[in-house]
Amino acid sequence: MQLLDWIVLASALSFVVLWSIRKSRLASKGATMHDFVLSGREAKWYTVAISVMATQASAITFISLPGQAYMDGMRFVQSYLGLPLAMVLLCVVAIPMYHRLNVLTAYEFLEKRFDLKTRTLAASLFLVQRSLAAAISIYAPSIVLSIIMGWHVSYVIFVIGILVVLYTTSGGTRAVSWAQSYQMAIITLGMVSVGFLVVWSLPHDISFSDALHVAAFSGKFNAVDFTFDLNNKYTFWSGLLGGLFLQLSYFGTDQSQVQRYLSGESVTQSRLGLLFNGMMKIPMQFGILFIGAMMFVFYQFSTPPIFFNQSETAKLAGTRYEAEYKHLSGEYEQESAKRAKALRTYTQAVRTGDNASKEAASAHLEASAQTLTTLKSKVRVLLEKNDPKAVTNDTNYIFLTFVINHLPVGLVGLLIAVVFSASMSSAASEINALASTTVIDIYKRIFQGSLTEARSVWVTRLATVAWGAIIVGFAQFMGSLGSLIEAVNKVGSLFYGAILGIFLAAFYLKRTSGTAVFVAALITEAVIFCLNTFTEIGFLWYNLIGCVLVLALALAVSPLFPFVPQNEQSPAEK
Amino acid sequence: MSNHAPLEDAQHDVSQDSTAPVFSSWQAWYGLVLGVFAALVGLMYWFSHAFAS
Repeated sequence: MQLLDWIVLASALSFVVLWSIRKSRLASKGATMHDFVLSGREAKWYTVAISVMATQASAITFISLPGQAYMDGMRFVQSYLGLPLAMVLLCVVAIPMYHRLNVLTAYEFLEKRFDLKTRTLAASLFLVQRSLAAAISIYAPSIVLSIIMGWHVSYVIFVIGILVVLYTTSGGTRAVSWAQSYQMAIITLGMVSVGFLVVWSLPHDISFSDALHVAAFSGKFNAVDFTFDLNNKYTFWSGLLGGLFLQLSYFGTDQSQVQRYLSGESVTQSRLGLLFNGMMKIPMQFGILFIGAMMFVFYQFSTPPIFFNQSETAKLAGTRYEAEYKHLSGEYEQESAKRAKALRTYTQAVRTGDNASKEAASAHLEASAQTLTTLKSKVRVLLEKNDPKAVTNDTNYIFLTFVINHLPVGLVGLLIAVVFSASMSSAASEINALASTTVIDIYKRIFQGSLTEARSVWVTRLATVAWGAIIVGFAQFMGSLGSLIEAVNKVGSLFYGAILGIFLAAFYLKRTSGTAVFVAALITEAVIFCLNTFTEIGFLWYNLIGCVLVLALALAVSPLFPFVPQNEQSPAEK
Repeated sequence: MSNHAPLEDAQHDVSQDSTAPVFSSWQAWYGLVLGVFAALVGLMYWFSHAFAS
């Protein structure tokens, strides 16, 4: 990074933090819990929409997604197919319900419907899974600086944690929303710029149309796959059904999202915010994946490193594996050059409609793809031989390698600011929600019910600092999770099915007791963890399986824990 | 008394602040979102196959 990059990065980050603190402090004097947790319920639809999108789009989205497309094609976009349907269902059922009950957290609803232990279980599952997911989303950008500046990853995690805690503690949800507006502007500007530049950086004899054909030939445009296969992670059906349950659970029951749209000034504003998200999310993810596919094309004509995480390959220097690594790198460069030549023949043949040349080039390209894959595998084996703990998945390094090596001065700083902004925007919502849930659903409800408003806000600020510290601690152990975008969705999928099942039971199983649902949720979690450990079922299906299992088990165990109408319960039972 | 009684004891009347803007009903909005979704799936399916030569 050069001086101009540093200026751009520092200006962007300091402006976001200072401005959001200033704006939220002006409005938060004498704040109540409604002000601090739901920003006084005065947000317009566009603020709700931006906040919801910024919360979901963490740094992982921008670091990992292009790499995912580079390696695996664009099929990951299918995991968002359930989102528009989920938004509509939540607008019909959840938003009017939450607004009518005037709740601060989603879990308050469960005590009104069931009992305290079911509310506490759902809140606790949220605290566990969201703190792990937040740690992953803070860890992601630390990769950036560990590459660029050689800083220790821990310091970067610490700096991000401090910045986020500063404005989240200061202004609560209002500060988070203010910051997210500016962060989304930075993110949009940065990603549009990199999208144009990656296409502009293609060789002069390769047109955009050629690039599309190269990406398609290489299997990167596999955006929709209608085959039904439970063991295939990303198909239309796993995205539509598994993804629907994942998104229903995430947006309907995860406080980090519920808190965003409950800050809408009315049902109308909250609904419009979610519906806008429903229409924009798939195009946004598609666009980011498309950038990854274009990076793949770029690197077909400009030899990429054999392994993108160069901090791992640097460890081979001076070892007995160094010579073999250099030999493999040399072979990789030669094969890449041959492949670039064959691709030019292929694109020429496509342009002229010369089928014979096209078929000959295709055969050559398929063989060369196999050779390159084998060479990369050999390097991974070397890395593992040298260090059994080596991280041999370099998906998360592809986007940043392109940014650092191929973007002009100034834009590198902007793109690093994009990664930081995205990390901070989602982490702030998450820490904000973790603190709210801890105070409202656990602390005030179980330990200290009679706090004044001012004292409650003070305790929530304290909880914000505590969760910031915990997440920074968790983030230190997130180094070996493979693709981060998959990791964060997988952690969510382990818990979301059961949580959604609890909420659906509350909505629709009118004669089921809280204890029956509580027991069903515990059994379901045990089953989901067994499925994750002992089977190869794609993780998106955990959401559907978990949800259905809670509902089925709650009905099955209902005779053992019969439903008692609330007016027949003793005060102690309530 | 049903188990849903507490939920039906509305603490905040939402009927006044849930009017659908632009269209005459929320159903039209939901239809728009689902229509956009169907169009996107169609476009992505076309995109998946359009450049495979």
